Amino acid sequence: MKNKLKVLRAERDWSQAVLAEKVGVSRQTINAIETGKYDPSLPLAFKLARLFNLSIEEVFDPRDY
Amino acid sequence: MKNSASQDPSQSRGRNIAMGAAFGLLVGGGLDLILGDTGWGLVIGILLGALVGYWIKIPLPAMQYPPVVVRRIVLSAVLFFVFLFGSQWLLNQDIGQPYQILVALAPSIPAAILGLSIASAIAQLDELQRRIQLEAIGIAFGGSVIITLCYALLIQVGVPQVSWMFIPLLMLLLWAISKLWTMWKYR
Repeated sequence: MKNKLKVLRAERDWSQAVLAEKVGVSRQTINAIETGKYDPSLPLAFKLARLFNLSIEEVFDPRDY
Repeated sequence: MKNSASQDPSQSRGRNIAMGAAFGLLVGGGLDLILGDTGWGLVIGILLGALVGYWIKIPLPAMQYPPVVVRRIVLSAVLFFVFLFGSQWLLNQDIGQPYQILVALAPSIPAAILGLSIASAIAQLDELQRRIQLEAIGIAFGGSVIITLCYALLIQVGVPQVSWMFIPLLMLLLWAISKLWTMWKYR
């Protein structure tokens, strides 16, 4: 699923490791989400969206589904 | 923008050596069973695997477990090998029949502890890593079923039989290989 995670992360100058630590997952998970190889679970998607003060739809593009 | 966490080269080399040794242990253990259960296959496998791990320059994909979890797995594995070789040594001595059964089954206790330690380590992983493990275990299970079925069919045409110990070794080896592959897939 396409998403704006990389852009949102860049705006805050966070590394993948920093973002991973903030939501309690591994750096590999953040990388896989950013590259669209893995779609996060609903709880993780909520965590990520809340971290950026956005809704899930604003972070993840649902048009693929 | 910082994209990845910095990796200590000596740490990744150490991990490569450990992973190589683990692969070598599984392959060497299998060869040892085929070639006559001398124990040298294990030693040569571990040494060759560690050497290959040392020569691989790129860091192999690995999961980040908390140090306490790694310690628990390593300790259980060491305990398993101590029990395994200890029971083999005792069985070669002249001990009574009732004790032989207990001694022969003794390595199953640390094996169960090792299994529980690995299960507890997997439970502490995040959702993607758990998915990687699940896919890897699924591939290993399916692969083991196919290979053992083929082998069982080949026995009918005279292929020599090997120890049943070959099956867990095969499953572990396939699990390790498929884990590397699934980690690479989600890299």
